[in-house]
Amino acid sequence: MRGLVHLAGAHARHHRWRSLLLTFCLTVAFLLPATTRQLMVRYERDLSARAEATPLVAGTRGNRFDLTLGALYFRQSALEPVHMGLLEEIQESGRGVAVPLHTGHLAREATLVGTSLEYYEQRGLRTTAGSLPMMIGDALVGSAVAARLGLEPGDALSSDPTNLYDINQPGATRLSVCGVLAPTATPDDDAVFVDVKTAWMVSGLVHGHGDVTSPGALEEDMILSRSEDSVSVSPALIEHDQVSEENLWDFHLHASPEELPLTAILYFPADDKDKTILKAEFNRSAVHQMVVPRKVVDELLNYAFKIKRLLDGVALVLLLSTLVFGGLVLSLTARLRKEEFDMLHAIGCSRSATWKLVALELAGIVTLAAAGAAAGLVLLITLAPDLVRVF
Amino acid sequence: MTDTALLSAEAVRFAYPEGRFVAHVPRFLLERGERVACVGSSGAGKTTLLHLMTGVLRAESGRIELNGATLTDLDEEARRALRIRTVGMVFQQFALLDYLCVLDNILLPYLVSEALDLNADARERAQSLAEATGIETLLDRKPGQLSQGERQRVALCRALVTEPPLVLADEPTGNLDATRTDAAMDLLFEVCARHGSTLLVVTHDTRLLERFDRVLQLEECMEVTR
Repeated sequence: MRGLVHLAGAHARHHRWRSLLLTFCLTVAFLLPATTRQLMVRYERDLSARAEATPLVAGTRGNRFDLTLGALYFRQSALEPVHMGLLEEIQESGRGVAVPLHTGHLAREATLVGTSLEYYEQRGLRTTAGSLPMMIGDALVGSAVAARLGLEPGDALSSDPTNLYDINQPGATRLSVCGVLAPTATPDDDAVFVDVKTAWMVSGLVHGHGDVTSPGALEEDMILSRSEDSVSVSPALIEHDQVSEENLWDFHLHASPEELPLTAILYFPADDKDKTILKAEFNRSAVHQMVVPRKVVDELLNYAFKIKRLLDGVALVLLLSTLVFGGLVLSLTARLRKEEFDMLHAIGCSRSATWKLVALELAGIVTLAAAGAAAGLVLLITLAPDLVRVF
Repeated sequence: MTDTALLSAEAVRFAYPEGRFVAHVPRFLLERGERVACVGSSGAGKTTLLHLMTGVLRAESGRIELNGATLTDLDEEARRALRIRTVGMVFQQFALLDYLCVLDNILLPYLVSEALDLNADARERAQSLAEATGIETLLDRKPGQLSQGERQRVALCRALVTEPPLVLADEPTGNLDATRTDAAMDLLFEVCARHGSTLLVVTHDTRLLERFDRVLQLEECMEVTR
């Protein structure tokens, strides 16, 4: 058999372009289904794990995919926000832990997520440096953001201004990096976490400025009107763009705290009973909805699986056409090698050995193609992580 | 079969499956160490005769004995094992494998058959045959890089590497000019004599016949009905 292997290898090497072409075609035919399968396995694993770890998500009634993807993966959502009052209602029910979530702003192109300390506890997040955000203006950066921007505790990070050309819109807010999260291979790695009040500050709903009530504190032309209990000032008044120990108490809000917006509320019930009751109460509402992320993600995965089946079909056609092409090449080769095989038979080689010779060459090419596909898959995962990353 | 006979055949009948070519060999004998030429016109069945006598084709009836074994009683596997040990073949146009180097071409019988053991002795024999035929410096070359004469020597080494008692050559000089034909035949005779091999050459080149111990007319050896 070693002699036949040597002969098959020598023949394949001698006709290297034909062998390489066949190997390449088979590699592509193997790589395509292997990649889609690998992607699906990863998508399913990552999406399911995140969804599984979030029992319920509450938000405004509307597209459940928008709500789930916004709450779990911080995707931009077109849904109207819910209000802080709703969170307080859930918290007062005592049926578990409700975590506020405010997204929609960016800091150096990373999603700025306003939340509470319970978020880190429920997600099992821990810091590799610094501490959790304890004060308004503190920012806890995800591991990928920290690596990308080279941030450490004590550094400053600015939020991206919503509109550079409109002075009525809030400008950039300087945040103080208080800590860096450990990597989790979830969307948390790519986010910057702040207290929800900081998120409202970035939105301009909470702001801070110097004293405007004391006589002489401002130039008169900055004061638009003054009454006994309020002072209206010009928009030209420069607000604090950073929270410090000196100006902390200057920050305030001009609306009812209950009306402050949230993108969604993550809900971690104490038990199944609480989960069922709260979900039932919510889904009676015409304004709000509560979804089970696992079910929504499963629906999404079903769509993905349909696409995978289509791609599998394409891959199967590709594989079959490659096999037909390979078969054609081999049958033509066998025909071209008839004289060679007749000579081998005449000197004492069996007919089965000549077929073994062809089969060994084919097996070598298939093995090489399979190894190439495996290497291609590893390279794809290593060099193009964004392709196989869900988040 | 006499004690000195290497190959003998009696009352052998063979027909191709289509039945359009039926061969009958009443009697055929090759003594050990003989140098025999077999002449016949193209298409007269020379290759059929060689394949019958070496067991490539199986006779329908009759008896063929090769080197003490009754070929007609053996199955395909046993005939093949006997053939690779007993017969060295030199083909028309040499039939070298263009994807193997010269050394591998010489060792080809060992590479394609499990009946032979590719050991150090075989390699040494290939090396000394290459030296004897003057191609020892070409062992790592491919046949495409060789001249006609060099290719012929490689074919000869391949036929002799197993030290077969019988060497069959089918039109070995068919593609060579007169000068090269003489050189090739000198080499064939010399190497066979050195190894004590019996030589049967099928040819239609009458100029060569004087050099053989015996000359057979194909038509006298084998009757063909078409």
